[in-house]
Amino acid sequence: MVNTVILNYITFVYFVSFFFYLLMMVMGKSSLGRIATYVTLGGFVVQTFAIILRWIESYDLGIGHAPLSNLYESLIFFAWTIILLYLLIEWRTKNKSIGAIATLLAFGAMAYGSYSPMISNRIQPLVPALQSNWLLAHVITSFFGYAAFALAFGLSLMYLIKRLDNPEKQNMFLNLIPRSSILDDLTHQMVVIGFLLLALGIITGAVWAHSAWGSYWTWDPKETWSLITWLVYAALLHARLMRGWRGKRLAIFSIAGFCCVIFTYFGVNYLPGLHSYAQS
Amino acid sequence: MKLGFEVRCENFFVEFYKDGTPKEYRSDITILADGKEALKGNLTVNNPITFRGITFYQSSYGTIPGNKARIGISKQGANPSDVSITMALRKPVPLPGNDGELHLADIRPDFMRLGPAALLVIGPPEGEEKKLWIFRDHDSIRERFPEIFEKFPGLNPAAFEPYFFSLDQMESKNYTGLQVNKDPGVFFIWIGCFMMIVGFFVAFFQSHRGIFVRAQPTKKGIRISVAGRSNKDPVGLERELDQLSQKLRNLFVL
Repeated sequence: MVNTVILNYITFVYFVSFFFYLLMMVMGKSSLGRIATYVTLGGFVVQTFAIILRWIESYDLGIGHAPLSNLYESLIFFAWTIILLYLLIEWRTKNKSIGAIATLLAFGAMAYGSYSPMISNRIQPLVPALQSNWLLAHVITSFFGYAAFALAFGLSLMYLIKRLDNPEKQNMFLNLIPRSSILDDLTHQMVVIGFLLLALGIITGAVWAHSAWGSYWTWDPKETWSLITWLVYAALLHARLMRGWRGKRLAIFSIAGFCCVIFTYFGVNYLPGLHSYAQS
Repeated sequence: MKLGFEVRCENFFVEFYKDGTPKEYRSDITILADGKEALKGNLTVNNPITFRGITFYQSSYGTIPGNKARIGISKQGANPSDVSITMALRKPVPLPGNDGELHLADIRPDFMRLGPAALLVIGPPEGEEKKLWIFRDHDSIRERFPEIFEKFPGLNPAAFEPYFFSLDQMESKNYTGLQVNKDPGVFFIWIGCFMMIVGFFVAFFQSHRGIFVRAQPTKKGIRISVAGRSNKDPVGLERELDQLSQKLRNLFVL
């Protein structure tokens, strides 16, 4: 299928943009950063095209549905949401420093989806439970939430690296990272967005479960873990707003939160449950 | 809980894609209330049917043993006979040759992981009755576990001499499993969810702001100063104060 071939190449496009973002930070040349942005933008446009193509191809196979139904498609979409959110942040803040981490995460998701022998990239028909319009709302909100958390994770890592900085050392790499206060603020914004979207993802999932199985919450492992993730981020926001936590503690909190996201996404596949779509 | 009406399943369909994954489970149901057909509908996994506050969901399907089985009875020795009769559950049948009676006490789709089985109870004219499990896959079980029937008389189809029993066929029934749910409170759950989301927007994107404008007479005229405080979003506050002072400047400074 054409779309998977294109997507296989996009994996490396994101690796190239990661390389340029890294080079920009090591050598401190803004022209390299500009190249990185263009490469990422190009990759994003072509990936969007490939996802649409996959959607069309599924209709040609007579099993038309949005390409959001199995682990391969979810990984591709995850990479797409990370890049989209990152490009928006870069455009808003005019800072490219978390580009390296964002593109690395996107590359990781794409590479895992495209090259893991455990993951089938075929277009599979929808089983009865997934045949619902809620699929789109549920998957889109959840994955944009995951992507926002992924970027918060990247920003937190940057924050911890930036703490190594001091005025005497003229380290280009650290100099290019924005001020700690900006990183802290951006992390907070990403967590707020992620938290809201995850809440919407859980709610749309509950509405959907109620219309498919007659109960909106069944303590399926994925439901439980998404609740745990949601509570961890709720605690983070609470600590910041009510206790005035900032900086290092919050950065570590956000990294721990992202570990929960990863477990919610992949870990629960090893437990039996309703979301076992991800096994194939 | 009484439903107060009846549900009749008219038909059930399972459809598969070419690669074997299920495509659709569908039960065609009719709801009978007050002696007439009140509602007809096709129930599929994502399309439940609600009637008088009770919602039906397509939940599962499968096969269960019916209440009939065909039992082979062969009699060895003097005047042998070999018959196969269809027996209903708990309906006694006389054994050929007036050696007592036989009845079918239980049917299981899978007994002791050895496949379909039936429980026969044999009541001889004198003495205690005998209970006996017989298996449909008798021959293959014997291959897997030689001696099993000799070791356990309760499983030995030849334990009641001179008869030998066999389970020739089992009637099976298909069923569709519906989930039935009465959940009048779920509406409030959705209201709660909605209010939570609205609350998040208010909590995260609205801030408590206090804006102060002070007019102070000085020798040259009046000095107007603008100040503000906010519990979050300092950037937004700064923008608002800038706009405000810009407006004041336009008003008073020519």
